[in-house]
Amino acid sequence: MIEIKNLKKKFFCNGSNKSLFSGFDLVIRKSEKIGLFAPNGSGKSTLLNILAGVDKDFAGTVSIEGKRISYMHQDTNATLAPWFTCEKNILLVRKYHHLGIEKGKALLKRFVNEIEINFSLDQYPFMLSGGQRQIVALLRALIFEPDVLLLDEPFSALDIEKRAAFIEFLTKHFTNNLTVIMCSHRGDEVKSLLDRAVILEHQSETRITMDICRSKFHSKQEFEQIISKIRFKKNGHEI
Amino acid sequence: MKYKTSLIGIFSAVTIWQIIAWLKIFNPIYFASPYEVIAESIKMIQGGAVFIDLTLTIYRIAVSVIISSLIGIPLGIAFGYFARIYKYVGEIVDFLRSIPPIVIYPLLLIVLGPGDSSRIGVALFGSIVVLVLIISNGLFQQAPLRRQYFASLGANKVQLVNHIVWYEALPHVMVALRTAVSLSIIIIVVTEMLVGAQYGLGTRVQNVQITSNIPDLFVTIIIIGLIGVLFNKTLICLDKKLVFWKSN
Ligand SMILES: Nc1ncnc2c1ncn2[C@@H]1O[C@H](COP(=O)(O)OP(=O)(O)OP(=O)(O)O)[C@@H](O)[C@H]1O
Ligand SMILES: [Mg+2]
Repeated sequence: MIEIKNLKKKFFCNGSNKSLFSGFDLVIRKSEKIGLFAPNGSGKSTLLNILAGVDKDFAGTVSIEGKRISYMHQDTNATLAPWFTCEKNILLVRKYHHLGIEKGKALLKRFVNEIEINFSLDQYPFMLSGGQRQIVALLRALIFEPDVLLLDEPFSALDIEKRAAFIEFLTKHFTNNLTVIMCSHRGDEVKSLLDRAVILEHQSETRITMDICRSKFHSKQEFEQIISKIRFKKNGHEI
Repeated sequence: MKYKTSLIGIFSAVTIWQIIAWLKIFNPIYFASPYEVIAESIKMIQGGAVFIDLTLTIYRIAVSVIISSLIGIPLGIAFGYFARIYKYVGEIVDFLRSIPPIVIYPLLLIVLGPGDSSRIGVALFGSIVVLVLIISNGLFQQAPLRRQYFASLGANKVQLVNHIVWYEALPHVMVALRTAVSLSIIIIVVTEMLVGAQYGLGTRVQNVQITSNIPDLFVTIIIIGLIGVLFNKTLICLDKKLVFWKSN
């Protein structure tokens, strides 16, 4: 279970405090697959940074249950190590969790075959395109068999074909016990992966405007139909 | 291509130098022409004594650079990584950097005697301070995201240093090393000139006061310059190899 209670987060910029969250609550049950939808600058990434422990500068309580928490950061450039090859970048995290490297290599090989990756992972991250780096970051997030998975716009740089391949891939790898939080701008892309959608809005602070659970719908199709209408334009969302 | 342009530059400089010598703008007694310098260097090579001076000076510089690296690089990384330490020692290191290293030479002469150890001691003082300052400051300025992110992925402190901090420090280490090397060259040559070295390029320069061999002085100055170039070029090569992700 993931529990965010009375979260307060301020940013200090240009000599003044800018409040992003002030008393934000969210509870996510174990093994729930939840999508966070919000326009740019609403605090999605900030929320994931706080959940993953990257950002420790906040007030309130955040508790997150899980042995292995995996976070795919939005900025893949800054979170891959340019001095290691992509393969090493991916496999390294298994070491941090005392998981076998040989088994990791076999797993990675399977992943590569399933998604039909057409570039070599022996390259260094700076040799890749933005989309290819995103694929590497996604593989790294999945390689150490996490039980909580935080994904920040995981497909934003992928072409339509790769997006479809990854959604199929994730459908297979979103096992029953895995808890997922995924940020996105568009519902139609990720609808099949989710069983809950939370829509955020930032006015003077960020708060939840809508919380849609699959269990409240008669059928999966009905839920997905609603979710696929979520999309954000320049001025707010339409649903 | 690059060599070609560099060669043209060097050739032009030597030509201008020769023309100045011909025009006798400076008194020829104090101003050696390229021709005299070449003739003198052939004589020096045949004599062989210059090689003893050269070897000893390079040896002293190398010892200074190696020992100061062994101390200064880990210290710099530690101070930069543990930002809290940096906040305490930053001002002190900056103060030490502001002391011209050579002023501690008399003290070291008393403590260690007029041998190599006091000379190398001064160079160590200067280089270590420079290494610590540049490396720790460089790391301190580095955006913390990658470190925080890898920590959140489960890396422990040792893994963080080995996998992230060391590599983030490396570009700053290379810059610091280049500064430390030029400082060591200055300090070693100057201390050779000051007190009691029997051999060394600094001693050789100093001896001109007795021998008045101006072409010899010119050759020695050129050799000292070339030592700097040699060290610098080696470090630039090393930098390209080690910090490959930056140049791309
Ligand atoms: N380091 C920072 N300093 C100051 N303000 C910040 C900082 N990081 C984020 N912010 C502010 O916090 C707000 C939320 O940023 P965040 O990155 O969480 O948005 P987001 O919802 O992920 O947006 P996007 O869809 O563009 O990724 C933004 O308005 C931004 O200006
Ligand atoms: Mg974001």
